[in-house]
Amino acid sequence: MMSQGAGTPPSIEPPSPLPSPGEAEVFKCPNCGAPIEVTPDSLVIKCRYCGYIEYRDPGYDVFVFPSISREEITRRFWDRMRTDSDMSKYVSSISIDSITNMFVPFYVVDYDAQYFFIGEREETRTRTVNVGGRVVTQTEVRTVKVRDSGSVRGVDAILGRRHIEELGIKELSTQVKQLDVSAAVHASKYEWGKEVYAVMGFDIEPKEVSAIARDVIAEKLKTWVKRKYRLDRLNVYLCRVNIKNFKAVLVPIYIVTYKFRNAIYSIAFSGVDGRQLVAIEPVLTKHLVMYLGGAAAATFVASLALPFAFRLGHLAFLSVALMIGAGYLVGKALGGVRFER
Amino acid sequence: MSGEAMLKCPYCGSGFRVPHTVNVATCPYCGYTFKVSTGEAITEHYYFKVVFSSSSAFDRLLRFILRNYGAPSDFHTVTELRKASLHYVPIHAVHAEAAGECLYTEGMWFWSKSYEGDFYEVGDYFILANKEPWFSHIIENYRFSLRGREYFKPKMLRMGRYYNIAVRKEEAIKAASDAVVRDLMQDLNTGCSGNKIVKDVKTEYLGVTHYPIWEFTYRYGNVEMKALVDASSGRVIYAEYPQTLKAREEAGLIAGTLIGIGAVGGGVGGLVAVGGLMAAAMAGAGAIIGLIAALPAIKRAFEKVVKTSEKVEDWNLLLKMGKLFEEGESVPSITTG
Repeated sequence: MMSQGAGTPPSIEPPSPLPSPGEAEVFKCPNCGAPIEVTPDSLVIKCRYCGYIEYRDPGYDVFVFPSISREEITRRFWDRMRTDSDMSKYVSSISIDSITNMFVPFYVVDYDAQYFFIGEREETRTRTVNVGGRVVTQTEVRTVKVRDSGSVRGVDAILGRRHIEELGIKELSTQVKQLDVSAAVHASKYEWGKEVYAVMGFDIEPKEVSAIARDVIAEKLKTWVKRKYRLDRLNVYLCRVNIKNFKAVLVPIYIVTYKFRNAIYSIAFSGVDGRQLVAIEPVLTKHLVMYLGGAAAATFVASLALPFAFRLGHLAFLSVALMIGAGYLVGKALGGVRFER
Repeated sequence: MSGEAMLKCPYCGSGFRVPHTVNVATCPYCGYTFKVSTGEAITEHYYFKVVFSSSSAFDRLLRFILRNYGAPSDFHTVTELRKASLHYVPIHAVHAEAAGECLYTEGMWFWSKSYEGDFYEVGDYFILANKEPWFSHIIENYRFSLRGREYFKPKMLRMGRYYNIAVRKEEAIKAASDAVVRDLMQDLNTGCSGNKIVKDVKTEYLGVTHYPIWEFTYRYGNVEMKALVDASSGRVIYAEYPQTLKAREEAGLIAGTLIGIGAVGGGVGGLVAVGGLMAAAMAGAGAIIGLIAALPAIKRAFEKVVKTSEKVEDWNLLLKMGKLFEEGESVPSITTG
């Protein structure tokens, strides 16, 4: 957060020279003396004139996962297109529109947690009985009380910036959890290279991380407990999350935008190892056939099963599930793009 | 002019007019941003830079539209740009934390046992500070790009339509406080069937950010349409495009086929399961199943102009079901009393 003249009443007479709000942060390049623009998010600044790069210490340790080069990402992009079962036939109609390289700030949090809960699960039992010579299916629903406690440990990745959304970030956070943080280099020692445009820092400060991580982990653990014990209701849930340590890391991401049949599509690659995080790809004729064929099959089975639901109640659920599935496939067919991971 | 007030910048002394509803004004001459009531400076003021110029943002918009179902294949060559306006929309940011408690009692009388569980909710809330733009409802939950903020500069006042801060900081804090309590209650409702208590709410104002958005008005044939593009990331926030007649006919055919398949499925199932007249009723029920499944296609068949937006993520089961935790030994280490 900024601290320029906070709380001081403004002077009616403008001081000379007039320091417009926000421009107090412009400083001179130590190498050539040219002005360098510093933003609230600047972690690494670059002089536009001489290319001088400086790391601005935010007051806590930041580690960087080295980024593979732009050339390597370009190579990976074309390799992927040439070997992709959908796009390989169209390689000659594809051209790269832009390649954007960014560093995404994360906090890698090491924690353990203990939980205790009392919950309820509804168990349905069906049995066939003979009533007056007719075979009838009876369904019995009973509520079972479940209680348990346990502990878990793990690593989570908390995004270091507020309120942002970019292609591939969710997938990148899944990768970050599996990375060996000791392989990251301290930001002050990292060779940023001439290519770097700007590196944004953290707008969530380390002092906020424990509270955020506790909330996120307790919520995930609640979902996990419900799923693991197949609970329909939690009467009480107690969770204690202990944050053992956390590290601020910058993780590189590449977003490659390409043109195909005049339209644009994008692929996000991890800058750590070049693996594809997520690709937005065109819906081709074969996908249309697949989605609509699936929707037709699901609709047929859903409506076929419906009359039998009078005898076997649970077939009604199957019927509804298939109908929703068919609608989802129709939506996908007309959605224009596919997400491929 | 009615509905406007004349202000004098406390910093450079220039006079300028603002609507009466404005609580925080920015001097168009020096860029000084201050509270209208006290003249006090607003220091936590940021903005996002325009990375995509109007031409590059418009080109991106056209190429985005081309990838949508039913867009005319000549859309990028035939479409005529009528107007491009840059809007700088102010958004308050507030960090809020709430603590709550669940009191649950099991059993009755002497055999009862009570449990107390603590719940926390931590979040950042972003509140539109000016609802004047016609598209304010579209950008209400829109998230920022990863390209970073800058400190507010006077030059941005000349770059586009700059909206003053009409929603006061105190109102934004109140909205964030209400939102965090709502989120906490949601959390409590899914994890507690006993008494739910909100114990404490804390807020911290993080500042106001002016976010750049391109508004385009364009024409294809006789149809005039509008779009919004994020000037920082180039992402299409909202767009309209005409759907070709062929695409609408295809969508109608898809819908008709699914309804037919549903009717056949229901009829066949009905004949086998119940027989007689009921089979006809089952064919009708099957047709309804087909109709519901075909709803996205039916909608498309009737839409001359489609509204769309660029999504960067979809609903993904694998991301949701991913391995979350490594289980430790089952240690009942939480004391309950």
